[in-house]
Amino acid sequence: MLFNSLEYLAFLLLVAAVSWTLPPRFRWVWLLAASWFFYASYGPPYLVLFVANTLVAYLAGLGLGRAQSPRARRLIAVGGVGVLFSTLFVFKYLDFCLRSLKAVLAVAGIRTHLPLARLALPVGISFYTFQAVAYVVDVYKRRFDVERHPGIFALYKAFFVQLVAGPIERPHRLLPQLRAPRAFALDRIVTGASLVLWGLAKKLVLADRLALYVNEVYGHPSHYHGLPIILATYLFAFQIYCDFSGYSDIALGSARLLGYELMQNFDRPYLSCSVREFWTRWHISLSSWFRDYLYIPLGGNRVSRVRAQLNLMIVFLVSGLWHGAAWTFVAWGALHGTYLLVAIWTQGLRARIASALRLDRVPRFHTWLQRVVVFHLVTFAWLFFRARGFDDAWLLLKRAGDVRWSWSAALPRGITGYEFGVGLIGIAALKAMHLWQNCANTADFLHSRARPVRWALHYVTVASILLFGQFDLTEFIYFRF
Amino acid sequence: MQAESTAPRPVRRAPWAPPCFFLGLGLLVWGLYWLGKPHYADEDLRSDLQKVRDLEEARAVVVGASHGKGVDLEQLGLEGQNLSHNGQDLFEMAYIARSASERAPKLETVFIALSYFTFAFDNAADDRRGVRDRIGRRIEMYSAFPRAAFIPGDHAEYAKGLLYPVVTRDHFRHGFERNARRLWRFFTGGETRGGRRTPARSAAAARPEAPRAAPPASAETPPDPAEDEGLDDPEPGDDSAGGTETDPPPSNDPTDEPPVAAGTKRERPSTKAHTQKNEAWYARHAAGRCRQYARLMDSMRAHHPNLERDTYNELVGLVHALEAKHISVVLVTPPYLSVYSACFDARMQRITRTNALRLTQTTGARYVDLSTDAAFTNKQGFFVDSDHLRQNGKNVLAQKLAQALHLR
Repeated sequence: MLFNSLEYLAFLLLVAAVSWTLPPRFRWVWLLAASWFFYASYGPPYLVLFVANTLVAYLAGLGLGRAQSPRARRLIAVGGVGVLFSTLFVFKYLDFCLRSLKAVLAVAGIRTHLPLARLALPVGISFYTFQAVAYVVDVYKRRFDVERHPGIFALYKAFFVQLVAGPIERPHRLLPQLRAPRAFALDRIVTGASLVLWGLAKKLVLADRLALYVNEVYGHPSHYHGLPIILATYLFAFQIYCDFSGYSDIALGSARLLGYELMQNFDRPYLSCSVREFWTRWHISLSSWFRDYLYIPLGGNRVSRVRAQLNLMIVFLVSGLWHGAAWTFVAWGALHGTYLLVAIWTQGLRARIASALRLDRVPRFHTWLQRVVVFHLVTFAWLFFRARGFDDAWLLLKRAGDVRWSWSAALPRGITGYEFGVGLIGIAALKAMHLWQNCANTADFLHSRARPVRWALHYVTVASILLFGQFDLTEFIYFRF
Repeated sequence: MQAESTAPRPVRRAPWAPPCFFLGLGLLVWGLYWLGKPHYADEDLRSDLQKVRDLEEARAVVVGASHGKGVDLEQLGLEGQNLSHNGQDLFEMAYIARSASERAPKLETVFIALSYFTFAFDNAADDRRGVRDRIGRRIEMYSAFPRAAFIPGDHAEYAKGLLYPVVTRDHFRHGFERNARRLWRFFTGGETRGGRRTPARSAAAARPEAPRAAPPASAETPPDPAEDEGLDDPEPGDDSAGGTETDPPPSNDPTDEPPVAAGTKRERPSTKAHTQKNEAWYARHAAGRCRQYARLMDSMRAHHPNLERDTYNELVGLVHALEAKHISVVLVTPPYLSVYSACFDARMQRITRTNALRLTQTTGARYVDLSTDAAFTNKQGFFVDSDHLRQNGKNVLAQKLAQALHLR
């Protein structure tokens, strides 16, 4: 059941309507049943694995609550996290490791036959595994009390609005809300509906439209050169943003319709002035997870300078690998890690250049210059993220240099100037909105505007979905992670 | 650094606000409908909607691709509607037939036109480099024949069909272009070259997958969206397109009949171009069609595994459903010129006949195969092109059907 389907909208309305009519203390039963049903709609076998994952995290939490000695606690925590990560490894990375090992052995002249497991990747396994690990670690570190209610804990793991692609909710944010549901508030419902609408517009009008262009070019890299490849890479930057942030908006909006508040996952990342800032605005729930559960445990920046930089690189390599079991994702992560290291190394030099160019006298221009540079760095890295493999990435890079400046050459097969123009206007409208809004959440920003402005924007959003929406029911990109 | 979400700031509410908001929303949708209707509710759709209204009295209906238009119910002495559409696949036939059976209380007979390609055709499965060229035609189908069901996998087209013409397959492009021109004329008081389009051309132009006929005759004529869809179908092979000896081989979307308004009984005027159609012209036409069908069937088979099995099962299900309502089913393979049958995939011809005969043995359906009937196969005068009958051909087909079914 995709967030951009009519089934989901009907399901959400039904769940919300019934949920609000139930007494608060029974609400979790209904929401848990709905969440498991939602997840089972992707395939009942996945649900079995998911429930097992929930059980492991729950039992580990209970064990940590009872164990007194530090050694026993550490044993339970390591055991719990180990089981959770090993499940993720088997389903997501086993074949990748076997293929890589085979390739390495082949280079060394050793021919082996390593049978692949060929397991189907359960939907959202990376997300819910990280959520479970966050809970076990938080309980182990005594940052959060054990959740003893199995139903509430199961709902924390299964809450359908954030189950398959996040945000990766931390226990201290979501569990208290599930224990004590909030009272009905019309403002929350209105902003929730507004967020769902805004997210749908991002997905249907922009992401899925841009996908037509991007898929054609990246699907047939040998057919294109120059402008289409460059444009497709820029468009992919917006496609993936609209796709994932659209999903997150729908998730946040759906949660608000049910009376819950999820964490903001995006904050206009393409307005970042540095790659470091980009990572505080892009997929915030994941980057903060890596900060809290990997970077800081590795020592963070409270170690030697070299070690801190190594930690940074490790975090980005693992982050790349988290996105997918392929070396292109590792390269994408490595590229971002490199950006950050280079930024650290050249901090003084850049400051001197800025001073020499008197950029401090034109701070707005300086800010925009930084934004443009960061956007281009990030967009270049997306090429590795989107390419089907290193061969394709290399081919795209090679062919991108052969630019022929003609309008007709810019349009790949099957894409009209009209469709392309609508996409560009959509991107311009999105950027204008981002520059206008003064907070991360578009719906909250709109809610604070005068009624005529608010309504007009809602009407424009509805009209743009109706007129320009791609209703081909395409999956969200992050569903495959 | 984590951007914490903020709870929405309470805003002073007015009790009139929600009704007014939704009223505005309704007005918006109505406005879009009003703006889009002249361009999207075209002749074909209006004709379909009228046929749906007239189903109340229908005793027979015909479903099928453009070849099904050869079955003239009036000539057969049956009151009913011909619901054939260009390029209709079996899933669409079943959907339309089921829709008709729900709306026609007096329905006794359903004619199902089985073309050679019928069992290897699924408009949802045609995919050319990631673009599903033919799926859009289902939007109009769902709009004209709404039911509380859709062909599996057609969620999007069903939703669009229910909202049509607010939601269109060309994303309102024609609506914008035409309305912009209207607005321009309103302010400038100017006339466009060539005046208004004729309804027939209007219908063809507004329908994105309409055959590409002559170049736009006026500035008012919008570009053919078939171009947008990347269709490289050959140009029309009908009278209106010329078809002289020196013309390039006639070739349109093979599933599209020449643009003749549905239900018209007139003979085509015997133009000079028409009289110059000869054996070579028909042979070229047939070759073009066969080539295009082969490409379409290959693409559809590639994107719909077990297509031939699924189409057969769909037909079996339809026949059973109709017979459960005491509606008799007549399967008809219409007549073609021999050049057409000669070049069409022999395996598919065999499958069509085998499946139809198998169905007659397991159900009460009757099968009339006129595809190689000697009364037609070499009579070019009966045909507009190699596979579509002219009115005199339809009259003879009606006689043959009446004899076979003992209708007279």
